[in-house]
Amino acid sequence: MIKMRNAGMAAIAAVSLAACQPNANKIAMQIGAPPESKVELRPLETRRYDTLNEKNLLSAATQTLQDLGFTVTESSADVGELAASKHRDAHETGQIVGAVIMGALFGVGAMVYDTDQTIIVTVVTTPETNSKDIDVRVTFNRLITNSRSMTREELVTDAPVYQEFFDKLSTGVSLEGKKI
Amino acid sequence: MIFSYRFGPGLVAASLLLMAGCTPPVPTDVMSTKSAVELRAMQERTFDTTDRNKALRSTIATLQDLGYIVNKIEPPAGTVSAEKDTILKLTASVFPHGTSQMAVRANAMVLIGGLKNTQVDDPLFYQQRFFEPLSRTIALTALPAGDAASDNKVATGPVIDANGVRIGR
Repeated sequence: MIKMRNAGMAAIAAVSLAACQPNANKIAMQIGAPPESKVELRPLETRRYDTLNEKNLLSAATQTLQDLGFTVTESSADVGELAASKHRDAHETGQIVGAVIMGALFGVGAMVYDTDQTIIVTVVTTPETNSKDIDVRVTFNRLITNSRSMTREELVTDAPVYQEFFDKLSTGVSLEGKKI
Repeated sequence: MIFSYRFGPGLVAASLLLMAGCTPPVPTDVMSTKSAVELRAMQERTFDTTDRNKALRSTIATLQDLGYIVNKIEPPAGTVSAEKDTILKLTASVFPHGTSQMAVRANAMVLIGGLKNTQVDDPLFYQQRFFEPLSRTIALTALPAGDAASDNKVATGPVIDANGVRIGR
Protein backbone atom coordinates (compact mmCIF):
# COMPACT_ATOMS: atom_id res chain seq x y z
CA MET A 1 0.00 0.00 0.00
CA ILE A 2 2.83 2.32 0.95
CA LYS A 3 4.59 1.37 -2.28
CA MET A 4 1.44 2.21 -4.26
CA ARG A 5 1.14 5.55 -2.49
CA ASN A 6 4.81 6.30 -3.20
CA ALA A 7 4.35 5.43 -6.85
CA GLY A 8 1.35 7.76 -7.02
CA MET A 9 3.30 10.56 -5.32
CA ALA A 10 6.18 10.05 -7.74
CA ALA A 11 3.81 10.24 -10.71
CA ILE A 12 2.24 13.47 -9.40
CA ALA A 13 5.68 14.93 -8.79
CA ALA A 14 6.78 13.94 -12.29
CA VAL A 15 3.67 15.52 -13.84
CA SER A 16 4.09 18.75 -11.86
CA LEU A 17 7.78 18.88 -12.79
CA ALA A 18 6.86 18.38 -16.43
CA ALA A 19 4.35 21.23 -16.13
CA CYS A 20 7.10 23.53 -14.81
CA GLN A 21 9.46 22.62 -17.65
CA PRO A 22 9.54 25.51 -20.12
CA ASN A 23 8.35 24.40 -23.54
CA ALA A 24 10.64 25.56 -26.37
CA ASN A 25 7.87 25.30 -28.97
CA LYS A 26 5.47 27.48 -26.94
CA ILE A 27 8.18 30.07 -26.28
CA ALA A 28 9.09 30.08 -29.99
CA MET A 29 5.44 30.58 -31.00
CA GLN A 30 5.09 33.54 -28.61
CA ILE A 31 8.39 35.25 -29.39
CA GLY A 32 8.23 34.44 -33.10
CA ALA A 33 4.95 36.34 -33.55
CA PRO A 34 5.23 39.56 -35.56
CA PRO A 35 5.55 42.66 -33.33
CA GLU A 36 2.16 44.28 -32.68
CA SER A 37 3.43 47.75 -33.49
CA LYS A 38 4.78 46.69 -36.89
CA VAL A 39 1.78 47.93 -38.87
CA GLU A 40 2.05 51.44 -37.42
CA LEU A 41 5.83 51.41 -37.66
CA ARG A 42 6.10 50.30 -41.28
CA PRO A 43 5.47 53.79 -42.79
CA LEU A 44 8.12 55.19 -40.43
CA GLU A 45 10.62 52.51 -41.34
CA THR A 46 10.33 52.63 -45.14
CA ARG A 47 11.16 55.16 -47.84
CA ARG A 48 11.21 54.73 -51.63
CA TYR A 49 14.08 56.19 -53.62
CA ASP A 50 13.96 56.88 -57.35
CA THR A 51 17.27 55.25 -58.22
CA LEU A 52 18.64 52.02 -59.64
CA ASN A 53 21.97 52.36 -57.88
CA GLU A 54 21.53 50.08 -54.87
CA LYS A 55 25.24 50.03 -53.97
CA ASN A 56 25.24 53.83 -53.83
CA LEU A 57 22.23 53.78 -51.49
CA LEU A 58 23.90 51.24 -49.20
CA SER A 59 27.14 53.21 -49.21
CA ALA A 60 25.24 56.38 -48.25
CA ALA A 61 23.39 54.42 -45.53
CA THR A 62 26.74 53.20 -44.16
CA GLN A 63 28.05 56.76 -43.98
CA THR A 64 24.80 57.97 -42.40
CA LEU A 65 25.11 55.32 -39.68
CA GLN A 66 28.75 56.25 -39.10
CA ASP A 67 27.66 59.89 -38.74
CA LEU A 68 25.18 58.75 -36.11
CA GLY A 69 27.95 56.97 -34.16
CA PHE A 70 27.23 53.39 -35.19
CA THR A 71 29.79 50.68 -35.91
CA VAL A 72 29.00 48.48 -38.89
CA THR A 73 28.66 44.86 -37.79
CA GLU A 74 27.37 43.21 -40.96
CA SER A 75 27.30 44.35 -44.55
CA SER A 76 26.11 42.32 -47.49
CA ALA A 77 25.63 44.49 -50.57
CA ASP A 78 24.76 41.50 -52.79
CA VAL A 79 21.50 41.05 -50.91
CA GLY A 80 21.03 44.68 -49.85
CA GLU A 81 21.62 44.35 -46.13
CA LEU A 82 23.50 46.43 -43.61
CA ALA A 83 23.62 46.12 -39.82
CA ALA A 84 25.30 48.36 -37.28
CA SER A 85 25.31 48.87 -33.53
CA LYS A 86 26.35 51.30 -30.81
CA HIS A 87 26.55 51.10 -27.02
CA ARG A 88 24.97 53.71 -24.83
CA ASP A 89 24.44 54.29 -21.14
CA ALA A 90 20.87 53.37 -20.18
CA HIS A 91 20.71 54.98 -16.72
CA GLU A 92 17.61 57.10 -16.32
CA THR A 93 17.20 59.31 -13.28
CA GLY A 94 13.46 58.63 -12.97
CA GLN A 95 13.95 54.88 -13.14
CA ILE A 96 16.76 54.92 -10.54
CA VAL A 97 14.62 57.06 -8.17
CA GLY A 98 11.81 54.52 -8.64
CA ALA A 99 14.23 51.64 -7.96
CA VAL A 100 15.48 53.32 -4.75
CA ILE A 101 11.87 53.76 -3.53
CA MET A 102 11.14 50.10 -4.34
CA GLY A 103 14.35 49.14 -2.50
CA ALA A 104 13.35 51.18 0.56
CA LEU A 105 9.91 49.55 0.60
CA PHE A 106 10.69 45.95 -0.29
CA GLY A 107 14.44 45.56 0.30
CA VAL A 108 17.54 45.81 -1.87
CA GLY A 109 16.38 42.83 -3.95
CA ALA A 110 13.59 44.91 -5.42
CA MET A 111 16.01 47.53 -6.78
CA VAL A 112 16.22 46.94 -10.54
CA TYR A 113 17.15 49.59 -13.08
CA ASP A 114 18.60 49.68 -16.58
CA THR A 115 22.35 50.13 -16.88
CA ASP A 116 23.51 49.62 -20.48
CA GLN A 117 21.99 49.42 -23.90
CA THR A 118 23.11 48.39 -27.36
CA ILE A 119 21.22 49.99 -30.22
CA ILE A 120 21.12 47.72 -33.25
CA VAL A 121 20.08 49.06 -36.63
CA THR A 122 19.24 46.94 -39.66
CA VAL A 123 18.92 48.44 -43.14
CA VAL A 124 17.44 46.38 -45.96
CA THR A 125 17.17 47.62 -49.55
CA THR A 126 14.71 46.04 -51.96
CA PRO A 127 14.59 46.91 -55.67
CA GLU A 128 10.98 47.12 -56.77
CA THR A 129 10.05 44.75 -59.58
CA ASN A 130 9.22 46.38 -62.94
CA SER A 131 10.20 49.76 -61.57
CA LYS A 132 13.32 51.86 -61.14
CA ASP A 133 12.70 52.48 -57.47
CA ILE A 134 14.41 50.97 -54.46
CA ASP A 135 12.75 50.65 -51.07
CA VAL A 136 14.89 51.24 -48.00
CA ARG A 137 13.63 49.79 -44.75
CA VAL A 138 15.37 50.51 -41.47
CA THR A 139 14.67 49.05 -38.03
CA PHE A 140 16.12 50.18 -34.73
CA ASN A 141 16.21 47.72 -31.81
CA ARG A 142 17.50 48.24 -28.29
CA LEU A 143 19.13 45.49 -26.24
CA ILE A 144 18.84 46.72 -22.67
CA THR A 145 20.79 45.25 -19.77
CA ASN A 146 19.58 45.94 -16.23
CA SER A 147 21.33 46.01 -12.86
CA ARG A 148 20.76 42.25 -12.52
CA SER A 149 22.60 41.61 -15.83
CA MET A 150 19.37 40.54 -17.47
CA THR A 151 18.88 41.54 -21.11
CA ARG A 152 15.67 42.38 -22.91
CA GLU A 153 14.98 43.56 -26.43
CA GLU A 154 12.80 46.48 -27.45
CA LEU A 155 11.81 47.88 -30.81
CA VAL A 156 12.49 51.62 -31.04
CA THR A 157 9.18 53.31 -31.85
CA ASP A 158 10.24 56.98 -31.70
CA ALA A 159 9.41 58.61 -35.04
CA PRO A 160 12.22 61.23 -34.80
CA VAL A 161 14.87 58.45 -34.74
CA TYR A 162 13.66 57.11 -38.10
CA GLN A 163 13.10 60.61 -39.50
CA GLU A 164 16.66 61.67 -38.63
CA PHE A 165 18.09 58.60 -40.37
CA PHE A 166 16.13 59.18 -43.58
CA ASP A 167 16.85 62.93 -43.58
CA LYS A 168 20.58 62.25 -43.43
CA LEU A 169 20.34 59.42 -45.99
CA SER A 170 18.37 61.61 -48.42
CA THR A 171 21.03 64.30 -48.13
CA GLY A 172 23.74 61.66 -48.68
CA VAL A 173 22.25 60.38 -51.94
CA SER A 174 20.88 63.78 -53.01
CA LEU A 175 17.46 62.23 -53.48
CA GLU A 176 14.19 62.61 -51.68
CA GLY A 177 12.86 59.48 -50.00
CA LYS A 178 9.16 59.14 -50.69
CA LYS A 179 6.87 57.79 -48.01
CA ILE A 180 4.93 54.75 -49.14
CA MET B 1 50.26 21.02 9.94
CA ILE B 2 46.83 20.31 11.35
CA PHE B 3 45.56 23.18 9.22
CA SER B 4 47.05 21.79 6.05
CA TYR B 5 45.71 18.26 6.61
CA ARG B 6 42.32 19.23 7.91
CA PHE B 7 41.44 22.29 5.92
CA GLY B 8 43.88 22.12 3.00
CA PRO B 9 41.87 19.79 0.75
CA GLY B 10 38.69 21.60 1.69
CA LEU B 11 40.20 24.96 0.79
CA VAL B 12 41.49 23.59 -2.51
CA ALA B 13 38.05 22.18 -3.32
CA ALA B 14 36.35 25.44 -2.32
CA SER B 15 38.71 27.54 -4.45
CA LEU B 16 38.19 25.16 -7.38
CA LEU B 17 34.45 25.56 -6.99
CA LEU B 18 34.80 29.35 -6.88
CA MET B 19 36.97 29.28 -10.00
CA ALA B 20 34.43 27.08 -11.75
CA GLY B 21 31.77 29.58 -10.72
CA CYS B 22 33.64 32.31 -12.63
CA THR B 23 33.43 30.40 -15.92
CA PRO B 24 30.27 31.30 -17.80
CA PRO B 25 28.24 28.17 -18.49
CA VAL B 26 28.23 27.04 -22.10
CA PRO B 27 24.66 26.29 -23.21
CA THR B 28 24.13 22.72 -24.29
CA ASP B 29 22.18 21.94 -27.44
CA VAL B 30 19.03 19.89 -26.94
CA MET B 31 18.04 18.51 -30.31
CA SER B 32 14.58 17.30 -31.28
CA THR B 33 13.80 13.61 -30.92
CA LYS B 34 11.65 13.69 -34.05
CA SER B 35 12.90 11.88 -37.13
CA ALA B 36 14.96 13.59 -39.81
CA VAL B 37 12.09 13.09 -42.27
CA GLU B 38 9.60 14.80 -39.92
CA LEU B 39 11.97 17.68 -39.26
CA ARG B 40 12.66 18.18 -42.95
CA ALA B 41 8.93 18.20 -43.73
CA MET B 42 8.32 21.01 -41.23
CA GLN B 43 11.52 23.00 -41.81
CA GLU B 44 11.77 23.02 -45.59
CA ARG B 45 9.63 24.50 -48.38
CA THR B 46 10.27 25.02 -52.06
CA PHE B 47 9.33 27.96 -54.25
CA ASP B 48 8.82 28.06 -58.00
CA THR B 49 11.68 30.38 -58.79
CA THR B 50 15.27 29.94 -59.90
CA ASP B 51 16.28 33.35 -58.57
CA ARG B 52 18.39 32.53 -55.53
CA ASN B 53 19.14 36.18 -54.80
CA LYS B 54 15.40 36.97 -54.73
CA ALA B 55 14.73 34.06 -52.38
CA LEU B 56 17.55 35.17 -50.07
CA ARG B 57 16.43 38.81 -50.12
CA SER B 58 12.85 37.74 -49.37
CA THR B 59 14.07 35.63 -46.45
CA ILE B 60 15.97 38.60 -45.00
CA ALA B 61 13.01 40.96 -45.53
CA THR B 62 10.68 38.45 -43.84
CA LEU B 63 12.95 38.15 -40.81
CA GLN B 64 13.17 41.94 -40.54
CA ASP B 65 9.38 42.15 -40.82
CA LEU B 66 8.98 39.59 -38.03
CA GLY B 67 11.18 41.68 -35.74
CA TYR B 68 14.34 39.57 -35.86
CA ILE B 69 17.79 41.11 -35.69
CA VAL B 70 19.79 39.75 -38.62
CA ASN B 71 23.20 38.72 -37.30
CA LYS B 72 24.96 37.10 -40.19
CA ILE B 73 24.42 36.74 -43.92
CA GLU B 74 26.55 34.65 -46.25
CA PRO B 75 25.22 35.14 -49.82
CA PRO B 76 27.54 32.57 -51.48
CA ALA B 77 26.35 29.93 -49.02
CA GLY B 78 22.79 31.28 -49.02
CA THR B 79 22.53 31.41 -45.23
CA VAL B 80 20.98 33.95 -42.89
CA SER B 81 21.21 33.86 -39.10
CA ALA B 82 18.92 35.99 -37.00
CA GLU B 83 17.71 36.27 -33.42
CA LYS B 84 14.77 37.72 -31.58
CA ASP B 85 14.51 38.78 -27.94
CA THR B 86 18.00 37.26 -27.45
CA ILE B 87 16.60 33.77 -26.90
CA LEU B 88 15.03 32.75 -30.21
CA LYS B 89 17.62 32.04 -32.88
CA LEU B 90 16.75 31.15 -36.45
CA THR B 91 19.02 30.10 -39.29
CA ALA B 92 17.66 29.89 -42.82
CA SER B 93 19.42 28.54 -45.85
CA VAL B 94 18.44 28.98 -49.46
CA PHE B 95 19.57 26.48 -52.07
CA PRO B 96 18.52 25.25 -55.51
CA HIS B 97 16.04 22.39 -55.55
CA GLY B 98 15.97 20.55 -58.85
CA THR B 99 16.25 22.74 -61.92
CA SER B 100 13.27 25.06 -61.50
CA GLN B 101 12.89 25.67 -57.77
CA MET B 102 14.61 27.18 -54.76
CA ALA B 103 14.34 25.52 -51.37
CA VAL B 104 14.36 27.38 -48.07
CA ARG B 105 15.16 25.50 -44.89
CA ALA B 106 14.80 27.08 -41.48
CA ASN B 107 15.96 25.83 -38.11
CA ALA B 108 15.02 27.56 -34.86
CA MET B 109 16.53 27.16 -31.41
CA VAL B 110 15.26 28.58 -28.11
CA LEU B 111 17.67 29.32 -25.27
CA ILE B 112 15.95 28.16 -22.08
CA GLY B 113 17.24 29.50 -18.79
CA GLY B 114 20.51 30.51 -20.44
CA LEU B 115 21.59 26.87 -20.34
CA LYS B 116 19.72 24.83 -22.90
CA ASN B 117 19.59 25.67 -26.59
CA THR B 118 16.48 23.71 -27.47
CA GLN B 119 15.50 22.92 -31.05
CA VAL B 120 11.99 24.02 -32.03
CA ASP B 121 10.11 21.07 -33.55
CA ASP B 122 6.57 22.38 -33.85
CA PRO B 123 5.35 22.36 -37.49
CA LEU B 124 2.99 25.26 -36.65
CA PHE B 125 5.90 27.49 -35.69
CA TYR B 126 7.72 26.99 -38.99
CA GLN B 127 4.51 27.30 -41.01
CA GLN B 128 2.85 30.27 -39.28
CA ARG B 129 5.87 32.14 -37.98
CA PHE B 130 8.12 31.79 -41.00
CA PHE B 131 6.90 30.19 -44.23
CA GLU B 132 3.51 31.94 -44.43
CA PRO B 133 5.06 35.42 -44.05
CA LEU B 134 7.86 34.36 -46.44
CA SER B 135 5.29 33.25 -49.05
CA ARG B 136 3.65 36.68 -48.86
CA THR B 137 7.00 38.47 -49.23
CA ILE B 138 8.28 36.34 -52.09
CA ALA B 139 4.77 36.33 -53.63
CA LEU B 140 4.98 32.61 -54.32
CA THR B 141 3.30 29.61 -52.75
CA ALA B 142 5.42 27.58 -50.35
CA LEU B 143 5.43 24.01 -51.57
CA PRO B 144 6.39 21.03 -49.45
CA ALA B 145 9.93 19.88 -50.03
CA GLY B 146 10.19 16.38 -51.41
CA ASP B 147 11.74 14.63 -54.31
CA ALA B 148 13.15 17.32 -56.62
CA ALA B 149 11.98 15.58 -59.79
CA SER B 150 8.39 15.13 -58.62
CA ASP B 151 8.21 18.62 -57.11
CA ASN B 152 9.07 20.16 -60.44
CA LYS B 153 5.77 18.88 -61.76
CA VAL B 154 3.84 20.80 -59.11
CA ALA B 155 3.05 24.20 -60.49
CA THR B 156 0.00 25.34 -58.57
CA GLY B 157 -0.81 25.49 -54.88
CA PRO B 158 -1.78 25.57 -52.14
CA VAL B 159 -0.86 21.98 -51.53
CA ILE B 160 -0.02 22.10 -47.83
CA ASP B 161 -2.11 22.65 -44.75
CA ALA B 162 -1.14 24.69 -41.69
CA ASN B 163 0.85 21.79 -40.31
CA GLY B 164 3.01 21.55 -43.38
CA VAL B 165 1.37 18.25 -44.26
CA ARG B 166 1.11 17.49 -47.93
CA ILE B 167 -2.49 17.59 -49.17
CA GLY B 168 -4.24 17.69 -52.52
CA ARG B 169 -1.56 15.86 -54.44
